[in-house]
This record gives sequence, structure tokens and C-alpha cells, in this order.
Amino acid sequence: MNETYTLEVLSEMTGVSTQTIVEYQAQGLVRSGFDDETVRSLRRLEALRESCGMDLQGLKLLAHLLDEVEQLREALRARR
Amino acid sequence: MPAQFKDYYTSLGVSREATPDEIKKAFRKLARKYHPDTATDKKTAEAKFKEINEAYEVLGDPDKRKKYDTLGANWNDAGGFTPPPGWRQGGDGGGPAQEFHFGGTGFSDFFEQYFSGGSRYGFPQDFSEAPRGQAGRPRRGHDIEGDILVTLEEAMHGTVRPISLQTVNRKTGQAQTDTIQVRIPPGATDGRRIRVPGHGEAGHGGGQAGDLFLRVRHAAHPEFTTREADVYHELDVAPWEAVLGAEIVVPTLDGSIKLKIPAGTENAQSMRVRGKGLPKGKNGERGDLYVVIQIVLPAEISGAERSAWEQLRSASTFNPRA
Repeated sequence: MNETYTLEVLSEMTGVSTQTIVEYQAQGLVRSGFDDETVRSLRRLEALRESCGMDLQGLKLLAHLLDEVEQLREALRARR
Repeated sequence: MPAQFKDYYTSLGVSREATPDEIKKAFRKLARKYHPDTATDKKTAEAKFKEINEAYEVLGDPDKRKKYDTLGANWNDAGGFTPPPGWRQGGDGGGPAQEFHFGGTGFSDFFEQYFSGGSRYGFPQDFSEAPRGQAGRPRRGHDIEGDILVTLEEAMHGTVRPISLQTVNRKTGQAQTDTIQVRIPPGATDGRRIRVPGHGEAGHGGGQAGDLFLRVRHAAHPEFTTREADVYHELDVAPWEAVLGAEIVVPTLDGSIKLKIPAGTENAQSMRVRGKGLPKGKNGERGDLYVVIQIVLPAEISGAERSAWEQLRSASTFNPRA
């Protein structure tokens, strides 16, 4: 149902090198099934890196926080 | 682009002081009345259904309701309204090179501007401003995010929805409207994002355009709520039905079924009906339907009923506090 991409295609789509994607994956910053959510995550990481000058540790912290906020919002919404 | 203010309290027919529970009840009642499946006048019902869904999307969320109340205070009947200072429009992120504007998402312009998930990259807008420097270097346009209202029927079978996206180029001031066909796949779960390549912000200096990410929002259904591919239905039962057991006809996404309530069913107990949820993948697999039992008491009882309960009281040895 959800279209998935190969590492190379994903790299081309986001402009993030394959090594970096693998590194992000090892750090738990992106999920292993490469789909449109991964595209979005990578774009978000790149924006943070470029605009806020964040290093890997900062990215990890912020990405996890943003994911958690999103999950909590969804959970809150589901309770209505 | 001033949007017309929407009075969500009037849409739901509740007062400004209504409790969350009153809002929920009012919504459910109206949703039942105007749901496209059940209403007789489909055309007006659909518009009304969208309106109450949008109102509930805002008023049913404490955070959005607070924002909405702040906005409402600055609104006057005569000439639209002025957003209070510090208000960022949901759509334009406070100063990108372009403004954008959705149509066909099932939400009004007013909702789009103030309550849609319409930030870029899905995080607070203050973060999303990349440095502008290095003129001339090709830079990819930003991604745009928005919400799209999808009915459960659409989520069940999949559909194609025309979305119009109006962009205003800040440099030229020219408005341009693109209509794109967005495919909602069968089994699109609430919160899932659909990527529409190349329909984000235009690129800079010959760079590629960004993508449009539409977040699926299931329109509230009078009978069902969803969690991932599973569907939930609250079933009201009488105390004796729960104690003695019963056979009750319950609705599902594809027709009604007869459900056996076993004797001694507890309140809030749920029963799983396998494979009656939303599609999970291309292989025909589906989520489940959970029927959640709600034991309800009669609001008023007749004399005969009263004496029956009194008889039960004297006959019963049950002590709920033992």
C-alpha cells in the first residue's frame, strides 16, 4: 500500500548521501522501511542541520522530541 | 487573503461555555443527522457534514479551541477580523517567499489559515526558516504540509480527490492556481501523510520544487472511530442485555452483522470482530472491528419497571462493594 524506495532512490529524492541515510538509520533517526514518511523525516533532518547548524547529537534529541510530540498529539486526538 | 470567520459554536449549536462532553454529544447528534450515508438530501447534508466536522476538529481539541477563542475575541461582524498580534497564519509560516492556499481538502479557508497542520516540515514555524544567503545557488523549494479530510468510506475504498493549490508569488504578486488529483489509497489511516511530488514551494535559482504532504484526517463518523486500521464502535446495551446476554445487530463498514453479547458482559468490555476494519495492504488483509460495550441506564422508569427493580433488589445477594 505504502510505496517503498531503495536507498539510492531515497538518496536522490532527498539529496542526502546514502552513507548519511545509513548513519541516520543506525542512530534510529529514520525507520528502515523507506517510504514517504522517511522522505519527510530526512527533509526535516536536513532542514534542521542546515538552518540550525545542528550536529548528530542535537538532531537525535530534537527528532525524538518532535516525534514524541506528534505521537502524543495523535494519542490525544484519538481520545476524543 | 482574508478568510471569512467561522462560528464553530453556532455550527454545533452549543454555547461558548459548553463542556467538552457537551460538544462531543452535540457533534455526534449532528453527525448522525447529516452523515452522507443516512441523510436524505445528500447535497446539503454533505456541506453541513463537512462544516460540523471542521467545527469539531477545532472545538473538540482543547488546544485548538483555546486558539479559536482568542481569535474570536478579535472578530467583529462588520468587517471580518484582525488576527491578534503574534498570530501566525497556519498557511504561510511568517515570511517564506510564497504564500499558499488550499482548496478541496474538505476544510474551509478559515480552517486552512488558522488550524490546518500547514507548517513546513511539520515542526513549529520558527524553526523552518532556512537562511536566505547564497543568492543564485539553486535551492530546492520548501515542502508544504496540510490536512485533508477523508471520510471512512473513502478510506475504505480509496479515491481520487481534486485539490486546488493557490500560490502567490511574493516577488511578482501573481496568484496561480493549480489543480492536482490526489490519490487517497484504500486503507489510508488517520495521521498518514500522502506525498504529492513537486507541488510544494517553487525552487530558487533553478532548484527543484518542494513536495506537498497531505496529512489524512478521518472525518468523524457517527458510528465509528479509528485507530490505525482498527475500527471502534460503541454499543449501548441495557443492563439486562449485559447480564442475560443478547443478540444485537451492529453496523460495520460493510453492512450490519448480528453480534452475540455473552451473558455477564462487563461495561467497557470490547468484542473483536475479525477483518471488519480498514484495509491494511494490497493483499486484502484488514484491521478488526472492536465493539465496545456501554451499559446505559434508562433515564426514566415506569411504575412497573420500578417494582421490577425493587423485586430484583430484594432477591439479589450481589454486593458490588464486597
